Amino acid sequence: MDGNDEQNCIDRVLRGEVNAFGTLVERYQKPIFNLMYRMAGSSDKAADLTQETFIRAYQKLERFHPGKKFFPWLYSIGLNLARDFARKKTWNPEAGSTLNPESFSGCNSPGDQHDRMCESLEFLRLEKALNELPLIYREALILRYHDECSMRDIAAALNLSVSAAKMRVHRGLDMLREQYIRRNP
Amino acid sequence: MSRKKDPSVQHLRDSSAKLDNTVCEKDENQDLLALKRLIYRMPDREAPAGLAQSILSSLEPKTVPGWVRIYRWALRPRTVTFQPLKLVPAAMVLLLGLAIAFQFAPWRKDPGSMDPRQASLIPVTFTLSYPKAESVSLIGSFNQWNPAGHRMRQIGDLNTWVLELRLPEGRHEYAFLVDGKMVVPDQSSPFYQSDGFGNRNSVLFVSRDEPANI
Amino acid sequence: MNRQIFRNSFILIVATLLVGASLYVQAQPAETSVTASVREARQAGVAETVLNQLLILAADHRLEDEGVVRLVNFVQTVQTEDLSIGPFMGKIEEGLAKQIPLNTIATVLAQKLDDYRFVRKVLRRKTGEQEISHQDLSRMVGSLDGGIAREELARFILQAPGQNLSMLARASEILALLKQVRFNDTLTQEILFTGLGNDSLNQSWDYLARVVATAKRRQIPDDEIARAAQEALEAKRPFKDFMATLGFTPRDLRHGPAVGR
Repeated sequence: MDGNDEQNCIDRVLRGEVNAFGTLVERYQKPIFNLMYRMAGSSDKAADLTQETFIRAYQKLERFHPGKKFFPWLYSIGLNLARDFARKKTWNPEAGSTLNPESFSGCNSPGDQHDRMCESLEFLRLEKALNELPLIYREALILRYHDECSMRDIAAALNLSVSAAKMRVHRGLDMLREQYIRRNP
Repeated sequence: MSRKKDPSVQHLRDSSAKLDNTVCEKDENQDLLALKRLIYRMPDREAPAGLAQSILSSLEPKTVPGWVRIYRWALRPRTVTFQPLKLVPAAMVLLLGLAIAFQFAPWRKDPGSMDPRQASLIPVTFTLSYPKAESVSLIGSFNQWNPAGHRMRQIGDLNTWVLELRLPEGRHEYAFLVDGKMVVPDQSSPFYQSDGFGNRNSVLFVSRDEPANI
Repeated sequence: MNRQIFRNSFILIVATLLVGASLYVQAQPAETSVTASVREARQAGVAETVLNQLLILAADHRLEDEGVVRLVNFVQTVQTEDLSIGPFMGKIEEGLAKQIPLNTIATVLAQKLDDYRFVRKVLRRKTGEQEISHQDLSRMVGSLDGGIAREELARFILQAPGQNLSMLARASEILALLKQVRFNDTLTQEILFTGLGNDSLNQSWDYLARVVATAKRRQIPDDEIARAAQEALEAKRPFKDFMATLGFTPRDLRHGPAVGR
């Protein structure tokens, strides 16, 4: 689905076809849900926040500029909600799984990071390290390296200039590396 | 903060060597590259099944003034190509074509037409009467037994809980999760399946064919 | 004296080497049980997505390492026995979501695996090495959870006519469902054997149990229901004809969750 198809969907929604919005929901619910899960730490709450994000986007759809991309705009709505949520409640990343990746010493050196065998466990450690980062840095990394967004899109999603977005990605990566190494001495 | 001074990083370096900047930088680059790859491959959590439907069912159709739609149409970037020698007639044809497209767009579908993926699912309404419940969620084989996004809503006399979903054709097991902890089968369904944990799940058959739409 | 010094020095050097070696061994990262179990499972062919899903479930539900190892090892066993992992993952998800203790989940999983082995063994007796799809096998095993005892299922499978395993799987499921609504056991077998023998128990008959349940609520006798079903199956008529014989329209059959609204 390219930008034109998305614009067509939005046009149909604005003509009264609610179900056309379903296409956008199906397409983007996963990254938004994952954003909210990183924020809330629970599927239940993440689902609620995801729903709220899409509802807000729907309510504001007339104000969405036709020339822009939908996903960064949607993401920025989600981030605002996530920030509001964070202000009301703190998610303690340490309260996560007692799986305790620190106890797995089988994959603790940089050389082993390339070992696919340990990758599943590495993801859990990565998740914990990511959750230590401030929201904007974390999301900058996810958007850049996981969702493969351009810097322009990241800037739009984070409501920053392109140069500020670049700085967040660069600094975020450094911070993540420090966290990751700290957790896996 | 200087990474070179950070003791947590030191052990990654060859402790026996006198490090120069080149060696440090190369190791750092490899670390960062590995991290980027890991972020890229990080598995996503799936959004709960039925979440999209839950979102859509809470939305009302929009009524946007015509002038807003025209304004948005005008803002929308488009690519136009032409040959200078044929500029005038081509421009006229283009303008006429755009005007027709706006009014009688061939891609314009009937209101209420659905995304094909949504259309393949069949609407099902679940109902539970349970006095004094604070919350009720639906769990089943269609949502990996995860109540997230499947909270039922109270209607009528507030003892009745309802949830509308779209499910694929086939057989589904399900139960109601009351107050986040009590698993309750659907008394209105005659069929059950023991879950092996001491509970009974209810069984539902969903079919597109009307004679079997039962 | 020199000899003494030499001997003591030698002992000291050897002791130092030994201590140094043991420290070196300890300093090497010991492979943890979870790491090892994940590796073995992967080598045994368990899909990456399954392992990731298990680990995510473990994190979500705060499982201890020992529990994770148990689940990973179990999934590996399923894989090596060439069974579909899907139903077992579903049971794990269900158990965790219902907050069942891990020991109980493990017991249930082991029982389920045993059920699969049992049914597969019975099928081998009936059809030799004929392949059965994972879905059909799951359907047959599911009838055990639907209230059919192992011996009854084995008897049914071995006595059933025909060689179509998909139809046999359907019949097993219907066997359990009709028992749940207290339909006459003998008549159940007669209906199903007619359908299997005539190769007419096709997909449309998946909803036989619903029709029977509604017919019973309307006080239609079991033998009348059975007669209508057998006639339709013998003549290979559509399922709709069977329903029409009993005087049903789709509206009449609505109970349980409302489908199609």
